Amino acid sequence: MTTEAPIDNLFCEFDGDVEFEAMVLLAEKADKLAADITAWRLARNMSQKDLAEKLNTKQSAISKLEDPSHARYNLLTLAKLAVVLGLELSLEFRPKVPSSVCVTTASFQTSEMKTSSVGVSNVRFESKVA
Amino acid sequence: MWNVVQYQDSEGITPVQGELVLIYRKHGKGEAKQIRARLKVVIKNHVRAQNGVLQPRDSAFHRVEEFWQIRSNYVRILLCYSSTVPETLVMLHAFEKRVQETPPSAIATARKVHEEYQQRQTTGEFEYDD
Repeated sequence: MTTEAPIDNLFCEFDGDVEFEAMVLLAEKADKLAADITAWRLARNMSQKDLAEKLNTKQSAISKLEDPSHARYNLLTLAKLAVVLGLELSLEFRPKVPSSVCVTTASFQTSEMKTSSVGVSNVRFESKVA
Repeated sequence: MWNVVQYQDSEGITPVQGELVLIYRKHGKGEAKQIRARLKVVIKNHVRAQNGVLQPRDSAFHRVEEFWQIRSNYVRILLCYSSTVPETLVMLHAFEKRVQETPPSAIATARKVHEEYQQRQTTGEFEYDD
């Protein structure tokens, strides 16, 4: 008997389950989005408390936005973040690329960040051009 | 690209799978799906190497004592390097997060499984499946 086994059986129970596939997709995109929010907050030299004050919320709420395991975002909050951080927010659906997870996501992006996040998202924040 | 597998004992039982099932059962079906979705994404996105060397990535994937630890919602999993397959991590022990720090009892359990894993490797008390 081998000492190592694949981990497929940890997830196969939900193969073909729409809700589970959507949750995987959400988790994947939340991972990127949470990292983006942190990156843009730091790029704007703001603490979580600073950002919370501008959004009229608590620091703990910002902490949750930056924690991908929470993965609960609403569009109004994302829009407010875009306004406060001086970013554009774009949302789009696009055809699924075979054998890869894409579809809905959200990220912040400016021209100087484009090279590092190309093709990652289709809901994104972009720096405003004056 | 690093691979993740799970330890399988001499009777073909994968303890991590059983431990995860127990954790999932404590939560509602929707939440259990969410936990698994997040775990799947953490394994896929956070177990990453740079120049062939595994890199800790925030709190979702980091070192705990001599092990690597994957953190996802309520779930923590301790892993070791595979002694047979290059660029592979072996899941040794999964447990539910109750406190911030990894409890000594969880590390002790992982050590016990790790010893068994190493012992079976050195004594050749297993056969590879083709």
